[in-house]
Amino acid sequence: MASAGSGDEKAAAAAMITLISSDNEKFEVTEATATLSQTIRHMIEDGCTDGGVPLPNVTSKILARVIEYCKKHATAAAGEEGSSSSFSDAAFLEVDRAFLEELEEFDDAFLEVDRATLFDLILAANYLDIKGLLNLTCQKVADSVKGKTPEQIREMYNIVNDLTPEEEAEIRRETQWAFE
Amino acid sequence: MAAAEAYRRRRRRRPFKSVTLPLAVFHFLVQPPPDWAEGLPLDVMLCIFHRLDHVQIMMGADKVCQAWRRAAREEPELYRRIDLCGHGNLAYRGLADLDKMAAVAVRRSQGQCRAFWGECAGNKDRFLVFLSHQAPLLKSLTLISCNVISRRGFKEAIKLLPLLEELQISDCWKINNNRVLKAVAQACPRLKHLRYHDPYWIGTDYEFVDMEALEIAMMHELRSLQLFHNQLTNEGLSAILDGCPHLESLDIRSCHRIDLHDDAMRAKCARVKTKKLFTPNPHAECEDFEPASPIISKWRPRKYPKPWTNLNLDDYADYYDPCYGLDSLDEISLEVHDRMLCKRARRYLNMGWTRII
Repeated sequence: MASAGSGDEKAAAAAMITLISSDNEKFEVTEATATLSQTIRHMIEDGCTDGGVPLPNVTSKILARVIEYCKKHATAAAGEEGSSSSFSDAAFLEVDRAFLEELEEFDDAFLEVDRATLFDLILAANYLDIKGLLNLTCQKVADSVKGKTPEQIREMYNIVNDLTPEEEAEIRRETQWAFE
Repeated sequence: MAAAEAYRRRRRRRPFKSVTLPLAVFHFLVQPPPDWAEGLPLDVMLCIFHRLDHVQIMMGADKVCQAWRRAAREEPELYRRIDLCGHGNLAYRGLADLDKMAAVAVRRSQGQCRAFWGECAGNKDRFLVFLSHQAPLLKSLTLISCNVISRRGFKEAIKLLPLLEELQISDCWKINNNRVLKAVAQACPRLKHLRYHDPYWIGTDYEFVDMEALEIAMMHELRSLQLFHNQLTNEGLSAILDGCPHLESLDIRSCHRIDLHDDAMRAKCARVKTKKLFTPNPHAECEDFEPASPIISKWRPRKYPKPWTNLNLDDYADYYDPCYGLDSLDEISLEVHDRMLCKRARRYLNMGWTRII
């Protein structure tokens, strides 16, 4: 009995992964959550996650947010798998729709961050290779850029215009109407 | 040494009242603001740019700074699908030269272009021929309101595009007759999706009404067909149904000469999975003709609707939506009726069955 119990515990412990942020904070997450990141998934496959996964490029503040995202979406993925195994089409779609709407709301709320955090989230998503998060954050940037003039974009993102006069002239040639 | 120095300094300062702050505060103060220009890896820049259309890239992102410009111009991948639709007003108001932009985009694609969708863009014979030389792999071509392209230029270009699978010609009044369709049928044996829309047709000569339909009947690989406001009759439709055995989707709205009371015609149409037809005649109810069509039409307001007299605007928006049916190159092989779902439904499908799509 005792040995069986310890075996279960061992399995549960094995399913947990420790992530260590750049400022040495430790986060315990389930394997399902962690494997949303392809980078970590590969590490798990290679069996080099003992003693925690150090993530030197991600601060604890950002890692906490990334884990929040992964947890939500890992549950979503699990729920989807569960329901797809025994679905009647209409019921499945109905459940799924409510689920997706909730997920969409979560994503919208998740993106209510300042530009600096958004920047860090993008870099973290890219480094950890979390496709959903990268798409989500990039979409946010793309939406904010849509329909804006270059000046407005520069202002919004604090970018200095370093184009040379030759390049500016070339740009004008490429897009502007020339009265021939 | 340094430690001793620091210690001495601290001792000297002791008499002053000192405040201890957590390290995080200094970290916050010292942390530089994010560098949106050089700080983002190229992959991420492209991930953002892929979510913009090419007019948005060339009018905005491209001109921001050197790093953004590099990402926007030196990556042919970004120009596999060139989308210059929905910005006709820029051309009308003289704010931008969409023809030039189209040429620049094609040049940047470095031969990798698979789809070109232009609205008032690339509006010259010279451009179309240039496109056909520069983009031998082209699979999808959309021309909306390209009124300057002539029949001769189009025919010359289409000969060089044997891989074409999707073609849309809308409101191009110089390339709107059966001879153009004949050239397409001969040059593009793989053509699977055709959308042909000619609002200017004013012919009344009954003898010629089916000529276009007869040419379309020669496109044997056709999977979906959208003929909007065409003059074809039952005879033409019947030729199309015989000539295109793989046809799965048929949209012939505003084709008023079609008579639905013909039982033989209905029997023939039963084979086609999705159908759409609206006629002004209240007796010709389309229920029989359109059993549980999965197409969901959706009204999208356009910023600058063009003057439109003889068409239902609702239908027009549906037709005009460049994303309708032609969504992305990767989806060319998808089932036709999947591709014809409205955007919302598509997004939903994409999320639900990511592995399939």
